[in-house]
Amino acid sequence: MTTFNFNLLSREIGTVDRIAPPPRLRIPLSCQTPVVDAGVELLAGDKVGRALKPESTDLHTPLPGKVIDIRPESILIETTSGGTVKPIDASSVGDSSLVDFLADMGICPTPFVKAGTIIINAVPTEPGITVFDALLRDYRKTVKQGLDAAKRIIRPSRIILAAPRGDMVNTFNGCSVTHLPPVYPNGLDAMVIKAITGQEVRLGEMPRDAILLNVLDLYLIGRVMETGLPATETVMTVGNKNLRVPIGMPVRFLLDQFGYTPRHGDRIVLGGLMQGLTAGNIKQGVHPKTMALNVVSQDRYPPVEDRFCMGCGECVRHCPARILPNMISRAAEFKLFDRAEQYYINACIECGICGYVCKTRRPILQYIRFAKQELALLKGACEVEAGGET
Amino acid sequence: MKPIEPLLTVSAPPHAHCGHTIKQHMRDQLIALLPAAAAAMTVFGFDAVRVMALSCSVAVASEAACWKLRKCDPQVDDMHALIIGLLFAFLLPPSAPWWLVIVGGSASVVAGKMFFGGLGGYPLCPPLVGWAICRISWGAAMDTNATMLNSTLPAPLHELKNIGVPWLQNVDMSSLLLGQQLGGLGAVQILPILAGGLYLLARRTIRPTIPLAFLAGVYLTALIFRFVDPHAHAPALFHLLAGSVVLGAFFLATEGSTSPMGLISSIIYGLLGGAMVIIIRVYGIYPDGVPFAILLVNLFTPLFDRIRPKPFGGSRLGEPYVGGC
Repeated sequence: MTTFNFNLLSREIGTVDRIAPPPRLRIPLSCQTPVVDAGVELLAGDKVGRALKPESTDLHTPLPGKVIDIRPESILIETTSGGTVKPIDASSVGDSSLVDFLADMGICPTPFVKAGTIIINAVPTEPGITVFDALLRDYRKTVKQGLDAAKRIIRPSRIILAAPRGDMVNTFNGCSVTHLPPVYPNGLDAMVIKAITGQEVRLGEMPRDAILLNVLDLYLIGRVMETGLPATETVMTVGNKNLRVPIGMPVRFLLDQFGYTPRHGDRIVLGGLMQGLTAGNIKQGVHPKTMALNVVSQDRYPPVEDRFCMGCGECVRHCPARILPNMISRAAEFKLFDRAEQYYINACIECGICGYVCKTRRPILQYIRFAKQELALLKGACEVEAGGET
Repeated sequence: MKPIEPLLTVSAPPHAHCGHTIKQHMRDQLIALLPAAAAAMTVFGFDAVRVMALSCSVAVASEAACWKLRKCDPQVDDMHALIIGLLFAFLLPPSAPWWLVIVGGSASVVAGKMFFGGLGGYPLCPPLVGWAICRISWGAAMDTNATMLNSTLPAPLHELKNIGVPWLQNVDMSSLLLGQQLGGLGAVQILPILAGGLYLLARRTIRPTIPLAFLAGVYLTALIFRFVDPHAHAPALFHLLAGSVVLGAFFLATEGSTSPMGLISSIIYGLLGGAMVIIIRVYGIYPDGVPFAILLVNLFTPLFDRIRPKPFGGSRLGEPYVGGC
């Protein structure tokens, strides 16, 4: 039996610490094109990648350094002891140009539309991730500043903080609190939106008249407003600590801080165990939305197998999207993508619970994502750029 | 020289697992069946051992042969064939001749499971397929009452069929519960089977919905018949305790791919199955209606599985989401 469970309140919350700068950064490119060339000397905060799509963000280097290599999936920078770009006084930016200012500073502009409700998600997205709680406690002022900036753009009539039940959370002025049961997947965006507004919003869709921002989003906006410098970091739960980590931080360096040497067959998971992505090698850099680092040794869980579905129906009983992961994975297995669509594959919120409960250890979520990808291609989407694997 | 970098495992999420694997599922099933097997041994002696051992080995051997023919890695180590063999033996009379056990045991695995591609592919409960083939082809050899004439135990369902309700006056319900009856050699060990079923429920290997609905279906339907004409029909409790109702409820009707997944569909499935048992017992020619009742409701499973709640975001196909930037 495993010690992992779906309780979102299970762990103590570490303070938010800083981490020593690494000798090298590997900044992952997801939907950005590099705007620097190899050999260029950079100041901290210089733009290195430009967003290719409206929903993606510009990338800036968190540390001063020299560009060593540009690869299709990452920019490699050797850090130096250079200076920082000149900060912009954020208080002088008017309401009308605030969105453009933030987008230029590396904040995703998608949620910045007028809406009646702001939902602040303070429910941990996954078990073991305590970033939201730690930020609300240690960086309350910064989060507040982020919320103020968001309010100036969104102009909501009400603000609701979604918090896990059983957690004492200090709310902000003019902001009511809704408590949700502290069980995975209740912290996922789709579930929080459903609990607060009653709308069932699928992945890739926006709720009507409501905007969901999590505490980390608000913290990053707050940082930009405070410092006048681009957002170049993320906050991650590593072990029982929370760390402010510059994006592009190599996984190896992060693990070194904890005295952990990865072994053959380990899974290094950027993110939580339910939804995180595995690093291809230990040099890979942390990407902007990473909220945790986990190492899973090879023999900790039963291995994933290529087996037929035994039809036990556990995935169906646990699916929060009320779809049939067993039938969808069977359809995807035999490339019957139209049939997968008929089984409402697009309602999947990718929580990963199906794979978690699967007795035959089928990679169900992988089959679902594969089928979605193929369906998107059939509908005429272009190949989606690869993630930050090197 | 640079140290060799570790080769990391790369995989799709989730990276954790609940720990319930196929092996554990089968092990639980086997443990749950053991008390009944032991009880059958004490009641029927060496005959029961003979039938169970032969049935299990034939089932495992025929599944191994099927995998060999398909040129696949044999998956017999998941113990499912063993369980099919044991369940099939549980439905046989202890007097079953060796050829019947061999034909039925191999038919359960080959026709019941491997024809459909193996574990999870079959639409009908495999041991019941073997049982049905034998029952229809060699009815005389499968008849528990006629082949066990030297036993002092009564065969309540046969007596009910032949003599009628008056015979029930000298039947004690608690002796039925303790397995003092003729029927399938393991199926009539009511108390051990019940204990095994509760073990499966406690281990969450099966869900309570189907067994409870099935037992309720048997009980309620019997109650209705009893209410309509108490002189022609046996009491409801008798129907629960006689024959293989309990085995069917916990071990046969709950078989993964042959039973529905949803809550409402499981309830309807169980109730219908239970009702079918009584209807076959009252109107049919087979004294114990359980195997055929379950086979029949198995056929309804795809229909019941259509009872689904609306998916997240309503009944629309929607656009595929392939990860934001």
